[in-house]
Amino acid sequence: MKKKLVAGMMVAVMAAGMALPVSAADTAPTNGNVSVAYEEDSTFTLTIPATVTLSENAGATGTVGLSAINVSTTEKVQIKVTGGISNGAVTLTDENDSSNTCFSTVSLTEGGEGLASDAVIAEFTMESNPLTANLYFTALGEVPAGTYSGQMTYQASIVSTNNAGAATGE
Amino acid sequence: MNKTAKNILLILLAVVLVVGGVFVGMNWNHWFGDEPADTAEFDANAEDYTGDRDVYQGEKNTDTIDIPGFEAINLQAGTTEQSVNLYNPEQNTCYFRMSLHLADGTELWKSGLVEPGKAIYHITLNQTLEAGEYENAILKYECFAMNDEQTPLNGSEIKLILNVLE
Repeated sequence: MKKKLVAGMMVAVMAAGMALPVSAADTAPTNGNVSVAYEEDSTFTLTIPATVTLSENAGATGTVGLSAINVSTTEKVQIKVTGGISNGAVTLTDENDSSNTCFSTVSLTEGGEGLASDAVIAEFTMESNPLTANLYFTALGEVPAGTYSGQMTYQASIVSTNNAGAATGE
Repeated sequence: MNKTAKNILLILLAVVLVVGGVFVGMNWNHWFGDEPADTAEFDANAEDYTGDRDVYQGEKNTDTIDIPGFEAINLQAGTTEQSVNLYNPEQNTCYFRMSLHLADGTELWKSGLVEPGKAIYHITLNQTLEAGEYENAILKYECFAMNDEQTPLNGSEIKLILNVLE
């Protein structure tokens, strides 16, 4: 009887030893809240014509637009011409004689009124399609021989959709 | 065997049984548990991230120029040394000369010619800036043909916000 009692106690001690690490591993479940957040910056890629080749007798067209746009739903990309336009026309200067110049009226519609300096020429949102706008250049008329060139500067910015402008981009 | 020796033996046996039980309990899952999940290996091609780099964009632009635009650029206050991510897209066929200006026209920085597919990650400003938001700053892109004359082409300006942070 005594031996059986001792044997039983030994078994109980061994079982208790096996249970200890299991108990040590038990943890009471806990709840917690983790905030997750991410902010993506608004970006775009403006595409402008490298050059627009004009002629004496015929008008020309240049296309401005966006090849990529990623802005929020309350933003739009606004494009203006901020350089190279004066009195609605772009000035081309002979590279060999700066006194030789010629002009081409630039407008948003064919044969339309020349652009005002700093005028909005296009606006695009994430829903806009296509992401292009045309600029129309009038023929130069008769010009003295020479190699003429002029540059235009296109300005783009991300603005609020509440910002008023000439929404020419569809 | 006398009684004392028996007791010592019993205590030793109990200790061995407890230690043995703990050992078995700690390794039970390892010996008899589920197969451990496969773990992934590290990619040997991975390298330190140094900012966005150009990826293949298709054919080269022959008569258009792609200009990267941003809503804002972050700068650090009180130092002229700045980290940026300004680049000439790989699909362009013209050089860029980039410059950064405040709204009042003050030039903060100007680059040399940047080839298509190249980026500038570090710039030195002409002056330090105090912390704050500088609206209507201009990132100017002057574009030049890739010929001996470096013929000027149409250019662009991006109007953005300079976030100067502490």
